[in-house]
Amino acid sequence: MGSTGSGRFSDYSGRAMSESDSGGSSGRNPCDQAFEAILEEVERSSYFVKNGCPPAEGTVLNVTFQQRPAVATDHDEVVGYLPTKFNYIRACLAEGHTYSAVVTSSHSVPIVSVTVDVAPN
Amino acid sequence: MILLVGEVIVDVSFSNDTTKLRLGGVLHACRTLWAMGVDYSLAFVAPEYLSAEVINYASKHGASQVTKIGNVLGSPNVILIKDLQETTSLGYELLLRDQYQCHWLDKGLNWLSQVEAKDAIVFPGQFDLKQVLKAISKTSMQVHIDWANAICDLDDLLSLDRPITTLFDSTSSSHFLDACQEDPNTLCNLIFASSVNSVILKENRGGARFFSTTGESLEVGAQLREVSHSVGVGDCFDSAYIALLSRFGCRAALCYASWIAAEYAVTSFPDDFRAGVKRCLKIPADEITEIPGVRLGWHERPDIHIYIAAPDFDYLDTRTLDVIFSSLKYHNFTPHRPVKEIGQANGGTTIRDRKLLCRQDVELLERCQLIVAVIEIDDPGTAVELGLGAGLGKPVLLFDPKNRATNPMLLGIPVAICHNVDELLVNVFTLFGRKVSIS
Repeated sequence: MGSTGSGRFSDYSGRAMSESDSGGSSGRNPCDQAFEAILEEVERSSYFVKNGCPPAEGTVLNVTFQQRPAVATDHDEVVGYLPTKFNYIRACLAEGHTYSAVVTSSHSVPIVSVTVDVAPN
Repeated sequence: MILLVGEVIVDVSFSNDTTKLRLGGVLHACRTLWAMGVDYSLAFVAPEYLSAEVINYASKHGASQVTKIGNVLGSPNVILIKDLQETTSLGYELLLRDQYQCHWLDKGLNWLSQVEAKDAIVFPGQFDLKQVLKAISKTSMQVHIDWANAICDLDDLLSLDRPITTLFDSTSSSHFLDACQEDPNTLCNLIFASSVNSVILKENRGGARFFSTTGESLEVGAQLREVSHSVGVGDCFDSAYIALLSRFGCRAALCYASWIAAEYAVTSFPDDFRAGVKRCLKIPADEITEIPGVRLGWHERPDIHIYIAAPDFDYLDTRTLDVIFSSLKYHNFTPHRPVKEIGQANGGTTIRDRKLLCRQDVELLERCQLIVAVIEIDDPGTAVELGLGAGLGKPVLLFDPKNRATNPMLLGIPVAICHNVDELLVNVFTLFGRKVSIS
């Protein structure tokens, strides 16, 4: 009779995934996923303080860690910080993953704002 | 070594036309310790039909000893779960709970009274906690209890012949909401009078608080992630904290527990969870205590008034608004539905009265701290309220589950566009929470 997913208990470690979404692993790793983020504290960060403006659209930056996950230049000037929902990136960095961040939007008015696309290297 | 004691429940959830069965109850804690590589034993209470499955599952997920201590009769120990993500109440329906009986197994209780472990974490269910504590009294284990789902009284804790080391509770538990009138101080006074050394109050997406009879108190921020499920996340937090407490101390253990609980919430796949836990444990303790999470205490939230701008008219389907409203209320914010509170214009409403409704809506909007604009249909009132709120300098969140919004103003003005209630909640907590790691 018709229902799926309720024939047995799901989520045993090591079990292969089946049509009904059970199994040990989804096959997805959050560390491998790209995302977009609006950076925090841009105006107070060292890049803006030094240059008086945020980086231009298209600028390629690095994801680093400075007491919290941050986006910075090759010279370690922090452009801004990733929102707290992306804190897990610190765990990914601890595992050896590295990331680049491309500036997709950059404004000084009406408020200073930088949006980046982050992707694993 | 840690001893886990609790009831085994079958969690049945319905999501995207898929029914999923998962072994729950005390097994959430088992998964956590397995993922952390921590040695543990399990003493469980369950109906007979689950016994073999529980022993098999726990043994394959790190348990060095698995012993049944109680047999459940009359109830299948099955929970139907309506809202996996706890955007509102999880909507637990424990089947045949009124017919529950637990018959203790002498051999099991005997074994329990001889366990040699440093810590016992007890997850009371419907069974008589006093019996478990009397058996554990014969050991020298430190005892930690998650009281959130317990149906026992605090007096039952006195069945242990020594103080309880840690008592965990939650802002979603009836103990906190009813017996303590939602006041953490009342909770602590009540609990400390029952011979408990420390209390941890979990506040779901708002973090957690630690209180001790020594006077020490700490707050830890929540690690907000996209939630796949909230079932067992609290048990995961408890187990991770206790497992890491002696090695790292209270502050770092609370931070790691917050991170590990977030990993539990993002997936129901155990191998993915274990991989996430291993990553978290690679972060050094002196760093994890500095990385801020989001802290927004239960008692801070009622002051956050949220204006729900939407076509909330009695001739439309407003179920989405019902869900948003009840979700924000469940998390102790103060949402407002202006059409419901102030009134709705209809065909016979005069221009004068329409202008009065407008003034009253604007006054309410001005008093609110956040605007949630819900895109259901093209409603000019919603668009005006969105713009008015932004013009007043208030943050605006756009709730657009069907991706209807294409107008540049609708996309450019809100601070975030939310496609489901979990996303909405994450944004509300992020906007109004303090960035706190541990303090």
